[in-house]
Amino acid sequence: MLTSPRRLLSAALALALGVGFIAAALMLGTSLDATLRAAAGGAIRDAKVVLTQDSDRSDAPQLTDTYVAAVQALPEVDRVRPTVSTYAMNITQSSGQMFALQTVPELSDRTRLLDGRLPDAPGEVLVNEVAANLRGWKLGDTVTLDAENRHDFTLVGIIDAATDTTTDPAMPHAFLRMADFSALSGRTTYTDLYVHGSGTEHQVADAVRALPATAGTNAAVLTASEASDQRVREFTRGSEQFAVMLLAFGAVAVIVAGLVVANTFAILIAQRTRQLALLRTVGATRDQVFRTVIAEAALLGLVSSLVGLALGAAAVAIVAPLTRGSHLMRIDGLALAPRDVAVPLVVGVLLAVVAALVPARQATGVPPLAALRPQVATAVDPRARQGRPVAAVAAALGGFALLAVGAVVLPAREVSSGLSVLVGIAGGLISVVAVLALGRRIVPFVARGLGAGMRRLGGVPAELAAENAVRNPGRASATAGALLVGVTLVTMMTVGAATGQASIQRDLDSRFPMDAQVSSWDALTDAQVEVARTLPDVAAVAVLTQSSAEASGGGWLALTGIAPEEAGALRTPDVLAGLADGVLVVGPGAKLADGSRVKLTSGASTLDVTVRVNSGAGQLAALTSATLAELAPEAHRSLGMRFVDGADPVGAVDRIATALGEAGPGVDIISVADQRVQLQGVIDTILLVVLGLLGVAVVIAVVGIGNTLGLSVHERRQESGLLRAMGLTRGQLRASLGWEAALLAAVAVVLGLVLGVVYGFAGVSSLVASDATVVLTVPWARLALIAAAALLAGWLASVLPSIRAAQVPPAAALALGE
Amino acid sequence: MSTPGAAVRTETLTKTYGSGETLVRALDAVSVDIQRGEFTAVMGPSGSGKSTLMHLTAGLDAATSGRSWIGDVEITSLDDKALTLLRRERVGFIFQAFNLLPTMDARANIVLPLKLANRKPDDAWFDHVVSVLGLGDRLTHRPSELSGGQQQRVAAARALITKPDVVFADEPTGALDSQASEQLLTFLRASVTDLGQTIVMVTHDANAASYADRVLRLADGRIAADERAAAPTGR
Repeated sequence: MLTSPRRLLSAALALALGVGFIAAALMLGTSLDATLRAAAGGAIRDAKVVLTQDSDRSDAPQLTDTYVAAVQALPEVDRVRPTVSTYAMNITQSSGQMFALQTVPELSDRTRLLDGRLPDAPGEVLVNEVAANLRGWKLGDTVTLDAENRHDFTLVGIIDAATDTTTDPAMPHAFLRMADFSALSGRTTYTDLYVHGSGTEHQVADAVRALPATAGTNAAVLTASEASDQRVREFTRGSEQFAVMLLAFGAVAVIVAGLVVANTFAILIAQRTRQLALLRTVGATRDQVFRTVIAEAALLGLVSSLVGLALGAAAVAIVAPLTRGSHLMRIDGLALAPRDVAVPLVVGVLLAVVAALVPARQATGVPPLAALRPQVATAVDPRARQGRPVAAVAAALGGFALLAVGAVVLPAREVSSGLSVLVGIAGGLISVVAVLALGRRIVPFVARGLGAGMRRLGGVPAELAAENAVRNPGRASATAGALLVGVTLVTMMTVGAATGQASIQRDLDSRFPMDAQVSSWDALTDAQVEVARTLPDVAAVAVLTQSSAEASGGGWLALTGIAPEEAGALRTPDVLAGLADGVLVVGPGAKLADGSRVKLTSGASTLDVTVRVNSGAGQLAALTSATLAELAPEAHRSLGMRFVDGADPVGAVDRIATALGEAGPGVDIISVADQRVQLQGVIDTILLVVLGLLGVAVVIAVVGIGNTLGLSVHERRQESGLLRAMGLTRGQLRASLGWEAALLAAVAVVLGLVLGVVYGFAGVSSLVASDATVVLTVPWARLALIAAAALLAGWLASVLPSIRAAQVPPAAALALGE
Repeated sequence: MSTPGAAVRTETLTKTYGSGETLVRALDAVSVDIQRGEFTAVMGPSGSGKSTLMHLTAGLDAATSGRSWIGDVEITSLDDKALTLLRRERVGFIFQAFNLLPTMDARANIVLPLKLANRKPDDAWFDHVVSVLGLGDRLTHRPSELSGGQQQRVAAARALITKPDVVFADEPTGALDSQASEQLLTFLRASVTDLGQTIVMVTHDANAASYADRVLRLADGRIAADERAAAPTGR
């Protein structure tokens, strides 16, 4: 088969693509892990032992300077890096901005001093480059910070704070000496001690544990490896699922590749029948022929897999820079583990060999006599009527059942979501394979249905095409099958992304119902409220009052007071439906019964209200402003805002802060609008990359259609001649082949769209825990585009074979033999 | 010169393959008239050019030089599309094998030329042709369910359904046993005698040729003999 490079190319491409997909998924996982490890465990640097104080516990003596000195004194210990971090507000004339506040770090090869020096006297502050750029600071400027207390500091240095200093290098940071840190924040103890020393991690850890004072700190003493693993685990939830999901796509891509490869091998070997028979007549044994075919397949598999590895690595390397600045999934660069190379290679070679097994067995079955016999096209595939597909039907039903279990049952029972994903993937794979196995029956069935409609559209050529498309059900189903899997995957990704995005959006909406929330450390003035209503970036403003109260039988509630007529400031105003004086609107999470009366207690005052439960309300607990004023007259006032659609959220926040800062005291703006925009960007980017990969899979499948059609044209040469003799024009013959290809593509599109929507929904449902709402979304416009593209591609595949078919003069086509 | 009213005529019709030393003259300047309402047999050994003559006069292949007419239309000057439409409207074919589309039943095969021309079948004519050929109970069968003789009779019905100017038959009995051959030839003879159909039949079988009014013998791409039968078989 190495002598038919064109057909071989499509098999090799299909293989390379499938292997590339798996390789990319594995490498992406490794790269993501490396990045997260650097971010989560970076601060450990080359410490041997890490002591971590649970900051929520304040019941005991903690990691104090005295204790640090005691650890320092141990003979196994070289030095100790104590750190503590919290948040502080940086205040300027016009605005407040949240800063990360941390003790002064040790410099390293990655955390470098850019300007000035480290603080060495009281009242001095060091900031990171992000903060300096944000505020336009120079050395010697005054930095005002507000945590428990408010203090002014003098800027003495600017550093590049890398991931070995902080988990979030993109955030503005201020670094203070411990004495200043304590004065500002009220915290006198550290949260983390990084202990450097000689000897093994365990020796140092044992020495620290043996210190009598250690027991009193309530701190966890972990070796560096343990601490690193733990931090990565805390950090990586979600990204692991993402890698698993990618792997599942990889597995399906391999199945597509397998289909095209098996079909291509079958066609290649069918065309080589005479050559192989000739080999037999000159004395080749069955085993020799078998081994030849298998060896060729293995070689093809190896070469294609190497190409696939390169493709996968290139894909990850290209994706990495696109993720910079994303909080959800950041990859610093391509990282490789040995299995990322080994697994795809083995899979690729095995796949090629397995795909070649059946054709190879058929090849060995070629009797030497076949070399002398003319090839005659079979009218109807005799195998079509054989056998009952009980096993395949059972597998399909079982697969879909598993899918349903993974999507609905498991998440509802709150078993760890990893299991539901695995079950869902297993169900998806089994059902896909079963559907493909049933293709011999399903594809002709759907093709007949679609063909009936096509006849009316396309006249005689379409009628001929409808009959021809299903003449060889095996070949038709293998050809349509490859495209079917491609369309299924593309549809699944598109539906999954749209559904995932809508679901996360909904989640964000319920947790942060407004685009921005504006508050001030002083009271917001009426002038500021008036200014806010006139800002061009702002579509609607609501005056919010905030307080908290204890509900009888329901625990503490963070109450928000809002005038019902100002509900337009929410992204989803309907979450406030039913809000009126004396009514408390809550989400189902508050565990209060709809329609019940509860007593709210805040300080000395109490109030009876009627509960109204709105499913979308999330953590919101809303009263009207008037009702909240009865309960808490001194409630803190803030503003909720909805931006105009399409506003640049980051720019809008800056402009709002400036405008309001000029009208009164500086304000603090919490905005999730930029998160929304960023989320959109991330999902679009991932979708684009995956669709790019899958697009190639569709191209491969289309090449497969071209292959099949080419073979059919060859086999039906005399028939075409007959039709031409009877008056079928060249154009009609070409049109007929075009319709045939389009019909095969249409079958794949119809089945693929249905399956893709099902898998897309199931996939998202199994990924998301049951308490989160999945908003099933079908992106119709995109699906229509997919369908149109696949049909057009199918038709394009027919162009070359049909031109070749139409060029043959009828007399030559009718001639026997050749 | 040719006679007006000929169904098919040719003027120095020539077909060559290859060039230089390997030049083969499949047909060498053949001029012939085929009269309307006549059953003409074209005979000759393999390579004599009889199939080439049929292919060229039926417009299935392009001549190297010379001219050829069907009725008063000069087909050697037509482009592929016009030629195809002419075949569709005015020519019927019966081949030795691969006559029928395996995906269609007998009825669909018979009316296929009408369908291609977007014409409605004439029901009376369809019934007549089908009953004469004895195909009434076979119309819903697919070719694979028909005997060789039945297949050829379906092909004959298809060739006649459009009432063409001329039917070309290329070794129509080549794959049939003697009884089926006789049945088919008797029908072809009858369609000439009773319906005035014009038939050109290529054959190497002398018995088949004996049904014809006129026998053209080809040798080395030329007409070697042109005989008229006094009493054709079946007349």
